[in-house]
Amino acid sequence: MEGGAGAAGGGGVAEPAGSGGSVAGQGAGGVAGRTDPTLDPDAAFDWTATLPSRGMCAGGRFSGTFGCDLQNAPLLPIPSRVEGTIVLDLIGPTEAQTLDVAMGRINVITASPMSFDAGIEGAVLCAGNGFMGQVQETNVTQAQLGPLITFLWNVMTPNATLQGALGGRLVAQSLSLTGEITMLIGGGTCRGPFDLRAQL
Amino acid sequence: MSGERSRTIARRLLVGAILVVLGCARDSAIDGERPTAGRGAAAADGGASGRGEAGNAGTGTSGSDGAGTGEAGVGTAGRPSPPVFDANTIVMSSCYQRSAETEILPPNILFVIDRSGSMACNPPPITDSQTCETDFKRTATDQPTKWEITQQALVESLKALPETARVGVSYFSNDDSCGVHPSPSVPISRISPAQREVIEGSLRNVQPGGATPLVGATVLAYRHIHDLALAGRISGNKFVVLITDGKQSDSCSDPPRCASAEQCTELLVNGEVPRAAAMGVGIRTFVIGVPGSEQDQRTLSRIALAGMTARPGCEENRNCHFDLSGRGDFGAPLQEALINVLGQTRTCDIRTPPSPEGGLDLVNLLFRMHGNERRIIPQDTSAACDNGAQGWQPIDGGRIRLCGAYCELVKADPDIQLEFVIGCPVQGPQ
Repeated sequence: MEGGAGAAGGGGVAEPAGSGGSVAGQGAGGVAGRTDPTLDPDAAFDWTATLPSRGMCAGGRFSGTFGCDLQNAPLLPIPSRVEGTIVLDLIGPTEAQTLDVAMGRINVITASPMSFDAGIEGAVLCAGNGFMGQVQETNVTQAQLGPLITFLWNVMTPNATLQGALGGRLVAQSLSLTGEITMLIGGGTCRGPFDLRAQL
Repeated sequence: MSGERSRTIARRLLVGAILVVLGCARDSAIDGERPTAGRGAAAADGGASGRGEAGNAGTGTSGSDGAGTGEAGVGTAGRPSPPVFDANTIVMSSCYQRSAETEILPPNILFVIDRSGSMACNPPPITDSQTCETDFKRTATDQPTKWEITQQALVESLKALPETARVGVSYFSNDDSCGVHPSPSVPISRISPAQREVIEGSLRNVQPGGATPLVGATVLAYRHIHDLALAGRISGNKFVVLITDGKQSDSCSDPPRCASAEQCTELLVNGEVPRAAAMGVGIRTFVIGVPGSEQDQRTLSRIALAGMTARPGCEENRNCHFDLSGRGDFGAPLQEALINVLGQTRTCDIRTPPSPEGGLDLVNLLFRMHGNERRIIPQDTSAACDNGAQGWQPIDGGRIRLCGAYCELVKADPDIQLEFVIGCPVQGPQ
């Protein structure tokens, strides 16, 4: 039952989508994925949560997207849109004062279209929940480019690399990690927001 | 590998046995499903539910349209009629409108685990609970601590869960003091092999320390689960499993909400736990008291009672929870208790299809095993679900529940496909 037809009817991101709809195209996801109408939105459970630096760090997998405009790239006289995905696994003991990025990946997709992958390192400092990270410098190799683009790219930007830095904040209440990413891609600069959510 | 094979064989034998029971029932259903004069249930054009009363004669003809001909449904008031159509007849009949695959609602379980300093002690008789309360240390280094025993039992018991289950883990405290937070240390997620690894890693990384903010941790666990449900990020049955060796610490109060351990505990038992268990939230709370919790038996028992998980025949102030406080070597009993708890989280509830025209009177539930032909799961409201009913029943919260052998069947075989068929009169029990 895992996965399956992705159209969880009106539901959230973590619903067990069914194995596809039947006659009317209404799969199990459509049934199970909707928010239970009998839930009471006014029911509140209040207690003072621990303040930052004292337990606000919640590890886990965070994934999401980023977007920025590539400026001053050798091949591109006008700004070009760059988008992609980021996945970070943050781990650390409950009492730890940092959560380290155990695994981090960024996939960069340009409008050209070209696509690059690189690793991410970094950590959340639980005092303030600030996140600092960096995109590991990665050679943009020929294998990652189409032949024509590769040729032009190599001519214009020999030894092109991808590198960058991330800065943001982990917000435990909303299970989110948001901030700004700055990248250098083959001589061009790209700066824009990223928005990651804890995966359930 | 051989263990896996044994489990598979055992599962097949179980499914086979259940099918024998249902097969007998089905034979009689087939007898009843041929609409012959004088045998029909309420006909489709009558708009009845299959519980027809005398005089509501169907006007259709027998055959592919499935409308029963003849006199009244055989039931009397309050007694469901037997099914008159088989599954294939229903899906081919003129009353058929649409179908929708469905599945058993998965359990969502948040373990809320006490990692207070006293969990670092060896259990009695090596370290008695009173000594442990004042001196949190491991006396016998060659013997496991309460924390290590709890870790191991949890890891082992999680193997009993189906992969549809979602599990997360919260610890209290989260700061070696009184810290608690709604976000679990291991977020609730499907219990895949990766999630098991995450949980095991988390349990390994955590060491005992700090006070016992039991109340705050439980309250914020409710908040987290309810928020996820409201956001549509989880569906299904929701459970908190509280494992503790002690009672709420005075220092972990939350004024002005409550200014002492006693006040906070009363707030939890009389306010928060029942509110969580009530309709509109629907979170049940299991409680397991490990050695050291003997000083707070009454509270833990009352939490289990208010949390709708009281053990059968228990005394309110004593043992409605899983009380392992008197057990020195509590590893095996804890694992047993956890497996019992996890077994109870595997219910047979299904969300009703959205807005079926005519309500549940025009809904039928079918199942299919491994590509075999569909069969009907009849509606059976003639007895309570836990008292002999063999079929499905509507329950609160926009759900239906499978009862009897049908529930056992879908629990035993996770590959069974369930399907709602909308439009035709609901079929009663065989």
